[in-house]
Amino acid sequence: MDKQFILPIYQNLEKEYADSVKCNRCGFCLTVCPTYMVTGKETLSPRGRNQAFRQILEGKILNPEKASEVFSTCLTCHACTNVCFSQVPVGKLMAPAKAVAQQEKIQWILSLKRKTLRFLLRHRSLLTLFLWPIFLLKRIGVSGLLNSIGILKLFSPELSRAEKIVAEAPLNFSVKLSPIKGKEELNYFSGCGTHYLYPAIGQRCCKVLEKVDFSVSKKPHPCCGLMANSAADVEGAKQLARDTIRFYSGNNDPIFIDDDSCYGFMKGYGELLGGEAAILFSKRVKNLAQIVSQKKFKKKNNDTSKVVVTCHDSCQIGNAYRETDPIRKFLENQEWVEFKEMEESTWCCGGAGAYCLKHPELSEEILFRKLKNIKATKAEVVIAGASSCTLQIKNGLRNRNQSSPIRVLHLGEFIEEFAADALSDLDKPLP
Amino acid sequence: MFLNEFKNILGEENVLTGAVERALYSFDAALDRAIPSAVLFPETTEQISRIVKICYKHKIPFVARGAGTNLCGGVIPLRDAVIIAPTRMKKILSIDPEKKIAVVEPGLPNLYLKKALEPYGLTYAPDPASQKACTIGGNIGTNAGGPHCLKYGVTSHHVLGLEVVLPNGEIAQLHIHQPGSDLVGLWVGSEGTLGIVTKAILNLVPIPKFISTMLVSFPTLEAAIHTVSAIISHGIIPATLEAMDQLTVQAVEQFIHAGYPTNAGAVLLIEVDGDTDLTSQIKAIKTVCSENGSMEFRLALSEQEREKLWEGRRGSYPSLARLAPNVLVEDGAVPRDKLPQALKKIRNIADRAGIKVSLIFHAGDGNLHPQILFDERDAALTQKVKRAGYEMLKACVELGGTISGEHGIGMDKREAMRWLFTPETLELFRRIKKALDPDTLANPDKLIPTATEGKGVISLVNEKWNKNEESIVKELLSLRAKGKKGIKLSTQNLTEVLEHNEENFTVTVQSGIQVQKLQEFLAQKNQKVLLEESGNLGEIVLKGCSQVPPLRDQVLGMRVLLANGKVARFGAKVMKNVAGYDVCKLLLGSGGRLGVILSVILRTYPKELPLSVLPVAKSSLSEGCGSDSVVEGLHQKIKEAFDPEGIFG
Repeated sequence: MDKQFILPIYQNLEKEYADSVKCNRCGFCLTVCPTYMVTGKETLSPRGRNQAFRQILEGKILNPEKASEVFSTCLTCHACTNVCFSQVPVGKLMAPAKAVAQQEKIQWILSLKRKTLRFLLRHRSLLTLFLWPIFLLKRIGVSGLLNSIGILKLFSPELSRAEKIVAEAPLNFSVKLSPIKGKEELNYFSGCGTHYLYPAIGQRCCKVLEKVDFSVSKKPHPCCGLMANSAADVEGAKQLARDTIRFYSGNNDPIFIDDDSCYGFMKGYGELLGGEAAILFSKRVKNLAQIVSQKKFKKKNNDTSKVVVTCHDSCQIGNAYRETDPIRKFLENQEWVEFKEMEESTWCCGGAGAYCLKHPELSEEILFRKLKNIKATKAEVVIAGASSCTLQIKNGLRNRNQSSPIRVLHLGEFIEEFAADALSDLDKPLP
Repeated sequence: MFLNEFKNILGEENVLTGAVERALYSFDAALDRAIPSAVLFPETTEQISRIVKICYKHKIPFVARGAGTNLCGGVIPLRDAVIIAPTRMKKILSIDPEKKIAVVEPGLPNLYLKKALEPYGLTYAPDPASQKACTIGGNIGTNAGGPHCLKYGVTSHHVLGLEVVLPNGEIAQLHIHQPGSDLVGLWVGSEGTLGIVTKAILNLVPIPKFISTMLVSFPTLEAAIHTVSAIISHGIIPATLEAMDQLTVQAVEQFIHAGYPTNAGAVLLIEVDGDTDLTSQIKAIKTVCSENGSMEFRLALSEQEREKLWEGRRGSYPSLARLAPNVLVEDGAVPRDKLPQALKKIRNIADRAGIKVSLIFHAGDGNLHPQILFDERDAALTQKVKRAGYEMLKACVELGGTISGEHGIGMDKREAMRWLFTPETLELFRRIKKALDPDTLANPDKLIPTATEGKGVISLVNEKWNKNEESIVKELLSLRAKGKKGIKLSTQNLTEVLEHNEENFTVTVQSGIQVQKLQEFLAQKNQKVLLEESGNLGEIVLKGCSQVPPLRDQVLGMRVLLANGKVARFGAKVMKNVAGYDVCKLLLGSGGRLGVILSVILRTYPKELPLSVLPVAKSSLSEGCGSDSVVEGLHQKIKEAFDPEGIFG
């Protein structure tokens, strides 16, 4: 019955429209939305975004491209859906919303852009070829020089910001796997963020997985589709999701994902694609916190002093799936960890992939609140599961305090740095 | 162009003018829509004052909008108004734990204030269901309530002072302890039609040491309602006394599974709190419940169980909201003893219209919320639902109640105001508005129905003369005819108790009665009024005395003889009433300059009720509450609205 209310050109968005009209505008989502809280503007709120989307589909907003800012400022952190009585998935509606508000009017240019991105994401070895020389320029200081004299900014403000934010530029993206085989088989999926920016995280995760007796296998795989989705290419995201499912169809072993953003996106394949295969696949994906939540480690060198730790929950896990328990269980199980919960641990850090490049001021204000909450815990280590958060929080701490004592670590890095071999498995009775 | 003037003050980025941006300020949580001509984001009182001065100069209407959670079209920008959104003014300026006072900016969300107060062991009592999002400024605009009002009172009880930007851009500092009429009382609940609140001084209460929650089920709604009055008669004022009918319980249980009994005719959720042990209160409540035929009595034994019981109550709206794109939440209030009748009428209205209604209500306050599901895209259904909602309000008025207990009037219920008030009273509202906002700039076309439309709609208020009143009117008219000014009329012959509604805990009395006499009368029924001073009631009210608890919280309604010889009537025999301006507050402390009080509706209490069970607002905060020339000017304007010729002295 919804079809009669939608403009003919948007008939393919009937399902999205049905989700959108569920909103009864109670406004409960406002105060959990980071962009609303820092600006106080309805135009940067979940309710406003959803109403804009609905009104475009109904033909009540005549120039959809004028709404592109309303949609692109969404962090897709999903905090709103969690407090919504009707469970309106505003974050998930933003990809189709951005697409209808696409400013690029020339179809073939748009299509070319999308196809190029899809191709690179599907064949990450080509992306590597493309990124490697850029990273080399960064390493030897050329990009920094160009940036400091303003040439990069002239070329692209986003590129200039990226150059500043990225502190390390690795040139080796491969993970060395141990020849020793553990008891259980596991597929290793490396998110684009960890793969290109923090390959060391991947390396540490592998070590931890080996310590807890997994036999890890890793082959070059495509992007999970999150990047395409963020770029408003829903079809591309679906294609990449299908590719990924196919890629891992050779076995039924669990799939380990080293970046929580990808992990969350892949948990949602069932919903994105529908169908049994996608739902089954979603059940196979795991992150490190899930795998080690019941494991107990000794601290290195028989040291008994405690490490004060807090935890930032990445949106794609903390908000989208409220999966905040496993990491806390793990930390509480370790006698040498003093866990300090921070206020609003699921409040977005403002990183949100390329968001921090597109909307630097907003991103910075949102980050400010996160940093305040982190500092209030007086923790030495903040654990972050997604590379986008790591990049953002690290950059924030670096900009504010050159010698910040707070370290941002992935759980894999944290275990590798502080823990000795696994002591026991709390699932099983001790021998 | 005035937009540039706004931009000069606020900066380019704080003035939204794009079509899409403006469209996103066209709605609130109800159905109405209108697109503003711009949206402005000020950050200081000074900026708001300057913006409003520009509006005043160019005659541009303006509407203050906080979180836009209003349920009756209260913040819809009619007449191409500009929206002034003080959502970035959300600072807590100070918290004084000694004096139990907080000073806050209007954009602060209600729950944020509560969180900030927790470390001090204090809280801000009003707890509207939307407290997660709604702002203090909006709460003040609608005189917001919530489940805890029964014991703690509504917003109006907790606002001690206000800084407001008047419709001409002037800044006024108001305080309840300033001499003369209680202007704070007028501004609270005025729905932004008298200017914009830019700062509020709020009363805080200590968080009680003990809290206990009970769920009691009854075979019929009537039994549940009688229990409510019986509990209060026992000298117990629970913090909350919430009721849900069977249909609602069944809907909630399908969604939330809070363990509510679905076979009961009605359930009561009762919460008591205090700083001393609550065991005896709980025992007494249990006894009263079983005397009234309760089925199951469940006391929450742990924090988790308590949370579970509340989850069921809080789930009543969500369990419906998820089922349809729109929920109409009506907001009538009736005298407590009329609740069963009100319910029957509402059910009949719904049946006749062929729609399904579910009922939740703040039973302790007589405030009821019929909830009707619909889809606004179905125009015929929407019409039907709206009409049924209106009829439900009418039913409340017929039972001596009001059309809004806590949500406000906005644009949705303006026409229903004609049932509730006499044309004379509505005319007085218009004169007050005109005196303070001559160009109708502040939130235009809200709250008060126009003088011209609505012909044929008759007030349901039954106006008749009580004993000895006519002679006073005659005296006034003859003195007027003689051209006398500055007169003072005696009310000493008005000494009757007009109605004592024991179950509702209200008494309606003529104003000349001696307080002593009234107390004696009530004592026979084991009740009392909380008045400290003795003497002529009307004079005490006009003088305005400082007592604990404050006199302003005891007066629920009045009939007032105006200088033109007409009688206006404000308030009702209900605990919560936000319809129209709270004119009773203006008469308090007015010294007889505005009109002659003929009769007063007062709250009554069980005779044995110790004062200690009431969370008492402070009495001795009059320091530093002088008035300046702006406030003097306001008093003058109000006097002109009531009595332009200066008949009363």
